[in-house]
Amino acid sequence: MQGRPRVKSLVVSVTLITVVLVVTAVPIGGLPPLSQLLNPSSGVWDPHIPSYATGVQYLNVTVNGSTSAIVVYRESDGFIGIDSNTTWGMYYEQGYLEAQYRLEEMDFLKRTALGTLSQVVGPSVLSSDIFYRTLEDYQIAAEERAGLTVTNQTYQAMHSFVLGINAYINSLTPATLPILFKLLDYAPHAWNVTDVLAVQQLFIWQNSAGGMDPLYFNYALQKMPESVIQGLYPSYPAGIQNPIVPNSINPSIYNEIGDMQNLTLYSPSYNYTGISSPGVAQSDALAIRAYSQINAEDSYAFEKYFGYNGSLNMQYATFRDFGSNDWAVNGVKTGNSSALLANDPHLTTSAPSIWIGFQLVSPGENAVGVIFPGFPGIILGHNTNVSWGATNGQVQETYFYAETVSSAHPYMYYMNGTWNRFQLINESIPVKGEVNYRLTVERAANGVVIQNGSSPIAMDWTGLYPSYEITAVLLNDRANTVNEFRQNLVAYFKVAIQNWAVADSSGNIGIFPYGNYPVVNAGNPRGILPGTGQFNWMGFIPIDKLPYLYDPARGYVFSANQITVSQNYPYYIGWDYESGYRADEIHYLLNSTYGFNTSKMESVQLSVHDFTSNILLRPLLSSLEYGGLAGTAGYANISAWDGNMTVNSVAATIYYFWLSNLVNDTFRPYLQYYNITPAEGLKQTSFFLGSDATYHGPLIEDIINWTLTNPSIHWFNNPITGKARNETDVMLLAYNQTITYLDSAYGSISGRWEWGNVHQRVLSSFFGVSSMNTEQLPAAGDGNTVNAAYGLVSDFGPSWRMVVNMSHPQSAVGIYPGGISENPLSSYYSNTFAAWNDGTYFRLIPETAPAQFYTGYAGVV
Amino acid sequence: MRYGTLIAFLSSLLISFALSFTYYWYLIFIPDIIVGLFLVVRIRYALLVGIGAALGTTLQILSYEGSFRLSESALVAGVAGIPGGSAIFFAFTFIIVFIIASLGTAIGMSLNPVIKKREKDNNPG
Repeated sequence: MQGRPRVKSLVVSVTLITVVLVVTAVPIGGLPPLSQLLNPSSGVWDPHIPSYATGVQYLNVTVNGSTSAIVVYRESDGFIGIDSNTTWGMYYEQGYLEAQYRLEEMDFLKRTALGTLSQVVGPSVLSSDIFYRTLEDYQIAAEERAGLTVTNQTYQAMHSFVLGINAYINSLTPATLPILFKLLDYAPHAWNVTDVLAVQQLFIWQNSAGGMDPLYFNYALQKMPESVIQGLYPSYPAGIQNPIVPNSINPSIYNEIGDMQNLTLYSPSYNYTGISSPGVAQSDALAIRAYSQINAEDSYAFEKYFGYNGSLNMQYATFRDFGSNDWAVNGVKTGNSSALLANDPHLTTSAPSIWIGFQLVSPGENAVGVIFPGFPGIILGHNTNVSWGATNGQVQETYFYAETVSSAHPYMYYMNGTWNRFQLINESIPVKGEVNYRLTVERAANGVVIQNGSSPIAMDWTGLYPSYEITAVLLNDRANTVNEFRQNLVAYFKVAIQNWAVADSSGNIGIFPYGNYPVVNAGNPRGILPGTGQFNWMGFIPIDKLPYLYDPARGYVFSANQITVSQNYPYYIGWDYESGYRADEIHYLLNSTYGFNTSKMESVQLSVHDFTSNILLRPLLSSLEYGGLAGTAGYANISAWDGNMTVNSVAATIYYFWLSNLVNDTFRPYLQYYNITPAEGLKQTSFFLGSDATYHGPLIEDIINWTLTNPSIHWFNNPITGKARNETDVMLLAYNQTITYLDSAYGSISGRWEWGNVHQRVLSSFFGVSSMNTEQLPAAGDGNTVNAAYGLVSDFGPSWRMVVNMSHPQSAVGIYPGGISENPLSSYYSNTFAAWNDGTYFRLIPETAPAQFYTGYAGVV
Repeated sequence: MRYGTLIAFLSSLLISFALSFTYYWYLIFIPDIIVGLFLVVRIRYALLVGIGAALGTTLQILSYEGSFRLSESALVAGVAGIPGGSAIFFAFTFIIVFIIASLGTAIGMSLNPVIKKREKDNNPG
C-alpha cells in the first residue's frame, strides 16, 4: 500500500526554496544578483583575462567581402605591432586589440563622454554626467560626424576601428566579460563613429587649459584691491621665465596691435555673488545632493543589516593633465648630424594606463608610439621621417559670461540690445537604482550655462564648436617633414592647444602651439565677463601671428607648460601657467650641453634637480645662520645638498616641506585677510594655495621673484597681525614648522627622513578603486623637477617617456608605466612600473621584430 | 539505507560539480528532488546531500586555476568594498548551494510515498 506525500513538509520546502531563489535573483545594493555574481561558470569564480602571448600572430580578416592580411607582434613591454596590407585592416585590428585589452577603460571613457556613466555606476557619478551633457559632448560629436562623408579618410579610419572594437565585443560571452562588467551588471554596447568623436570631446576638454579658474579668480578680483592683485597676481608671470617662443628668436609674431591694450587685467568686469560647485548648475547641485541623500539612506539601511553598504568603492575621475616636457635639438647641439626629440607628458599615472602602445604599419605608414584607448592611430610617437611630442599649451580656452535674464522674458537672455532665446536641450539621464534625472541645458551665443540662478553663468569653450583633432593625429602619423606636420596642425588641431615639438629626418626641428586662441576686445577675461555682447569673442588670433619656432639658430626648442610668449606679445592668451622651473632646468641643460645623443636626452628627461633650490637654498642657509641654527643636523644636511631630489637625500625632504610651508606662510594671511573661503577656491586652485601651489602658478613665482629682486618687500608682512616681516623671518618660520612636523612624523633626524621614505610613486586605479592600485615604490623627483613626481604619494608624472634620434628612428626608445592589461591579476597589469620608476627605456621597435615592422627604415640599428 | 544515503551524497556532489560548469548552477535543487524522492529518508540525510552539493561546487571552483579564481574573487570583494576577501564569496557560494540542494532533497523526500507509509506505520494511533 502506498502513502501520500507529506504536504506540510512539501509546502515549507517549496516556500523556502522559492524565497532563496528570489533573494539570490535580485540585485543587492550596487551589486548584481548573487546567483549571477557567484556563478562558478561566469561570475567572480571565472576570471577571464585575455591572453597576451608575446610573439608573432598571422591573421586574415574579412569584412564585407574584403580580406586583409594582418601580422600582430606582441612585445614583452606591452607594445603591439600591427602590420596589414590594407589601411582599413590596420585600424580594424587596432580597434580589436584595444577592446581586447582595455574594454572596461574604453567603455568608461565613452560613458563619461556621453554622460551615461551613472546608468551603470549610480548617483555617485551623476555630476559627471550632468557636466558632460552640459558640454554637449554628444551633440557636438554628432555634428562632427555629420560633417564627414563616408569616403572621408578620417571617417574610414574610425569606421574600420569601431568595426574591430565591435568584433571583439560580439565575441564576448557572459563568462568572458571583464570583471567590472560583471560586478556592475551590464554588458558593453557596440561602438560607432560618433562615439569616437564624443570621446575626442572628452579628451580635448581634459586637455584644455583654463578650466573653471576664472570663476574662482573673480573672487580675488572682487575682494582684493587692485594694488594687491598687481602685487600677488601679475598678469605676466613674475620671476625667471624662458618663454617657448621668445621675442628675441621670433619677433615676427610680436609686430601687431592685438587685444592686450584694451583689457583691464587687475579689476573685475563683473561682481559675482554666488558660486555653488563650479561646473554644475546650482539647481543641479541641489538635485545631486538629493540623489546622493537617497543613496546614502539606502546604503545606511543596507549597512545596518548586512554590515556592508552595498556600494562600490569607486572614486572615478578620468585623468588629470598636470604638466609635461618636450624638446627637440639639432644643428649646433648635435654637430649638425641629426635632430633628436624627447617627450614626457605628465598625466595621471594610472593602471591601466591612459596610454596604449602600438606600431602601425600599412601601405604608406609605419608609425610607433602611444594613443588614448578609444582612438585609432598614434598621437605621440614617430614614423620613418618625423617624430613628435606634446605638452599642454596652458592657453586659456574657457571664458565665462554673466548673462542678463528677466522673469518677464523666460528662457531668454539679453545681448547686443535684444532679448534672445536660449537654445534648450532636454536630457534624461538614467541613474542606476533611481529614477531618470531630467536636465535642461541652456545655450547662449557665448556659451553653455554652467550655473543658473538670477545671473546665469555661461562658459564659452573653443571645444563647443565642431573640430577634427583626430584628423590631425591620423594625418601626422604619415607626415614626412616638420612643415607637413605643421600644416596638418593649422588645418585641424583647434582645441586643447598643445606645444607640439617636432623633428624630422632632414634635421629640422620646430615647436608649434597652434590652435584657436580666442580674442576679446574689452574687460578682464581672468574673471567673469558681462554677457552683454561687447565682451564676446571677436574671433581667433590670426594663424600667421600664432607663436612658433622653426629651426632656431640656438639649436633647440623646448616646452614645459611655461609661459608661451614674451611679455610684449600683443594678444591676451592666459596668465596661469606652470611656474616654469622645469622649463628653466631644461633650458639650462639644453643650453649648456652639446653633442646630444639618445643617452644625453634621457639624462635630461630623468633629471631630478629642483631648479628652485638654485635660488632659494642660499637664502635659506643664511636665514638659518641668522636664526642660530647653523650647528643643527638639518643645516648640515642642507648645506651639503646639491638640490637633487634623490631617494636617499634627507635634505630633499626638509626642502620639500620647507618650500611648501614658505609659500603657505607668505600667502595664507592674505587669503584669510581678504576672506577667500574654501567655497571660493581656497586650497583648491594653485593661485589660492591648492596642493600644487609650490610648483604651479603665480605664488611660487612671486617668492622667487622677490628673493631675487627685493627680499624685504612688504608682501612678506602679515596683514592680519600687522607684523612687519622680511623673507628671512618667513623662511625661519617655515623651517621651524618643517622640523617640528618631521620630528613628530618620523622621529628625530635620521634615515627615516630620506626622500624615498617619505615620497613614493603609485599607479592609481583608473577606475578609482583603491584595491586595484599598484604597490608604492620609493621615488625621486618632485613637482619642480623635469622627472616630475607631484605630491607625496605621487600618481602624476611622466605617463609616457620617449626619445627619438631621427638619424636612426628605428632605435627610438620609450616606456609608459603599467602594462597592456586592465586586469590587476594579469602579469601585464603593472609590469613596466618598476622599470619606469628606475628610468629604464625600451626599444619601440625591438631588434627581434619581423622584417615588415622595419619597412621604410634603414634596417635594424 | 546507508548505501542509499552514500549514493545520494555522491550523486549530489557529482551533479553539482557538473552543473557548476554551466550557467545554471543554482538548478541543483531539481536533480536533488529526484535524489530525495528515491534515496533519502531522513531530514538529516537531506542536509548531508546539501553538503555534498556544496562540496561539488567547491571542487569545481578549485578544480582548475584555483588560486587564480580565489584571487579574482578577492579582487572583486576589494572593488565592491566587501570585507572578508574571497572568504565571504566562498561562504556565500557554499551556503547557497547547501540550502538549495538540501531544500530540493527535502521536497523530493516529501513526495516519497514510502516514507509517508513508514511514518504511518510507526505512528498507528
